[in-house]
Amino acid sequence: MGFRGTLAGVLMCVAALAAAQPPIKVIAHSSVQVSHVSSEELKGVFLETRTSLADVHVVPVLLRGGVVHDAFVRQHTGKTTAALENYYRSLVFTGKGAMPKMLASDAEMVAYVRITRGAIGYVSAESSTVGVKVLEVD
Amino acid sequence: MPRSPPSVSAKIGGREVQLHGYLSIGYISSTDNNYLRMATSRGSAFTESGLTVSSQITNKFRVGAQLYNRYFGELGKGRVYLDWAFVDYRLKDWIGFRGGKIKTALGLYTDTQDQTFLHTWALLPQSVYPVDWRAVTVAHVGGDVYGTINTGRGGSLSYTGFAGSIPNDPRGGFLYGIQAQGGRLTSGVMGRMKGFDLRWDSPIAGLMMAGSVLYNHRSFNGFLGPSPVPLSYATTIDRAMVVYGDYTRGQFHAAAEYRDQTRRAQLTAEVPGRPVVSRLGADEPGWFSSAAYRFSKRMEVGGYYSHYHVSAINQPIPEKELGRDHIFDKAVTMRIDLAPFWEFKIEGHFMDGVGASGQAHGFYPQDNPQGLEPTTRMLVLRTSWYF
Repeated sequence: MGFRGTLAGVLMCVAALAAAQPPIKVIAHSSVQVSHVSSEELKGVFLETRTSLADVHVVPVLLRGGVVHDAFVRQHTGKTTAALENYYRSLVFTGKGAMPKMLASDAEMVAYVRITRGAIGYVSAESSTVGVKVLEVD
Repeated sequence: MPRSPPSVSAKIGGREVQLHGYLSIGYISSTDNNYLRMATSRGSAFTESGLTVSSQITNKFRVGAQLYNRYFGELGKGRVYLDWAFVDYRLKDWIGFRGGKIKTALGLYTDTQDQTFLHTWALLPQSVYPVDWRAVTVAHVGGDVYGTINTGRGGSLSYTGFAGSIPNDPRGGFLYGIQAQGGRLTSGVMGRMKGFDLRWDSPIAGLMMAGSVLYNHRSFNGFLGPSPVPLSYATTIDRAMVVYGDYTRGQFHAAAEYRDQTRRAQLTAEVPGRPVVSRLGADEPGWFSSAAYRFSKRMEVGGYYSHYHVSAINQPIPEKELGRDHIFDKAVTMRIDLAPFWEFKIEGHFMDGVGASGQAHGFYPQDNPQGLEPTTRMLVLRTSWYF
């Protein structure tokens, strides 16, 4: 197989991996005023360097694990799940931030975001999101 | 296996209070030279632990505190410290204020140097993060101004400006270094610091680059050897310039830091009517580079090279032994995550040089009365639990 064949194979693998990412919905409490959020803003919220969106205080909420969690963390924080855990611990043990709320399932996530002012989380695209706002990520 | 950390919290007075902690136990065995104020040539155990409590009072206002304890032989000696305790008011994302005893933002790991479970290594590179100096570098009592500025496609900039006093530590390397040169203190070490740290989270995924600068001032009074003449010591220049970077891609992680430390001081023999002044100091450039790869959720392997050089000026006791002007350390580590919140490390060190006796970098004449060999090999085992 020549160079072109190898390149085509690599590109197909990359495309297949990208296609394998589970579809994710970013959800927010109804108090969050925006309907769009940029990747940079979302990264800031989940790294706790951004505490507001359109002057509304926001707090990140995470799933405890699973493929949706892994994919979201990789796509929107630029870290692996292990690196993100270490990042939160470094905030906690230096006093410069708090451990965010971690929930076990999509249903718990939706229920928590629905009742928590400023909460921003994520669920699988198939999950019901009744009562919460779905944000588009630019 | 979900690996996310648990949230240990309780509602007190309607507000969430988070509680976190860690315990680390280690063992060091070295060839002839004793290291870090322990009898490591016979094998020594050490411990480190912390307990943190914090609460978000309002959207902008949070408070917290941490108790800390360590037992590295004579370093720490098991005393419980109030490691940090401060109030934090984040007015906007780009500007916030902290007041109290605060972890110092300087270089990659100054503020997280105790939390070994955050790092691949059992011992951080000692050229830049000497365990001996932990108590006088890790925190300041004073204030911070901090914030993060998003520059859009240019990534984000995080800054911290800080100023305050340096905590005195009667069980730390700074004091033991003075004693190594025959000094006896009649006062605590008075110190203050100010500095600035700037980090650029670049638009290149996983790449962070940064720089810090730190200015200290330290002074103390005492005697040298059997002489009855009282002495006073005060630094005239005590500065650290730091550049550092960190890169993560997938399971690969690399980091590097260069720290240039310059110290000049005035030592005054308080002879009545005729004080005698001598000038002393040291230049201590140190740097390290490290790389690690996580092969699975349970195992990570890495190594680092740590380079420390010291040029001492007018030391009270001239150095005679080989290797007294440097410590070059090659380390290889395997980290095993035995379970969520429990890790174990095994690390080998191959050290060339022992540093200057007064500069407190691990090797002390107090623990090596027979003299020091120019090279040291060392095995470190360490396990940590955290929540």
